Amino acid sequence: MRYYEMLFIVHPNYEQDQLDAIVNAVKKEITAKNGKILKVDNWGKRKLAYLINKQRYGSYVLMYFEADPASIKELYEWMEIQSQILHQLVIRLENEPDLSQESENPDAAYIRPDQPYEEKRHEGSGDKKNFAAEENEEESEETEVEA
Amino acid sequence: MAFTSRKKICKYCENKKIKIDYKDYKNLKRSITEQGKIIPRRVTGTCAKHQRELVTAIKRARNIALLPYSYDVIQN
Repeated sequence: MRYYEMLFIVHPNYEQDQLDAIVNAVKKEITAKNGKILKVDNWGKRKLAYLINKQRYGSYVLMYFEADPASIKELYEWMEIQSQILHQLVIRLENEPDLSQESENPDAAYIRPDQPYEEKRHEGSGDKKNFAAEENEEESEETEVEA
Repeated sequence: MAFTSRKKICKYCENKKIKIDYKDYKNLKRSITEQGKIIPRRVTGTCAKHQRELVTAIKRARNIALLPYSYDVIQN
């Protein structure tokens, strides 16, 4: 058994109940081959970077699961046949995935008010600035003493 | 001096908190040109190890339509 990560795009015409039905069908397909679902993360509808099947939008669903390596090819082929699923990406993970994050939607981070995205990403550079500021302060103190 | 090259620092080596992930397409956007091409590491100064990770991440993001293969002037 190995850990996998799958991101797939559902046709924009399928919403809520219909979308859940598709997600459940995918889950069933994985569990039918002795797989184990670890996490399902629905990103909601978003604009695609380019047209897929003449569609401009699509619902993204991220899924973490454990499965037998041999079953992945079958799963992929099954996904290809489904007309409701526009595209899918299956990635083999080397380590156990970190499931602590509630949602890994790259756009959700912007919406969440308590965790501003930009600040989170630039923590390192922020520290650097503080460090530089401290240095300046020290220098200014020295000059004061000299004066 | 006009021709002295600046010391290049890999931003991913400097800041270990930044994780290269295909899902984080907004971060990857900094590593592609206006046309959507991957910026070579001789320009950005990214180290070989992280450039490799970056390239796979960008290609994965393109595959799943998080990033475009190319920014076409006509299409937009």
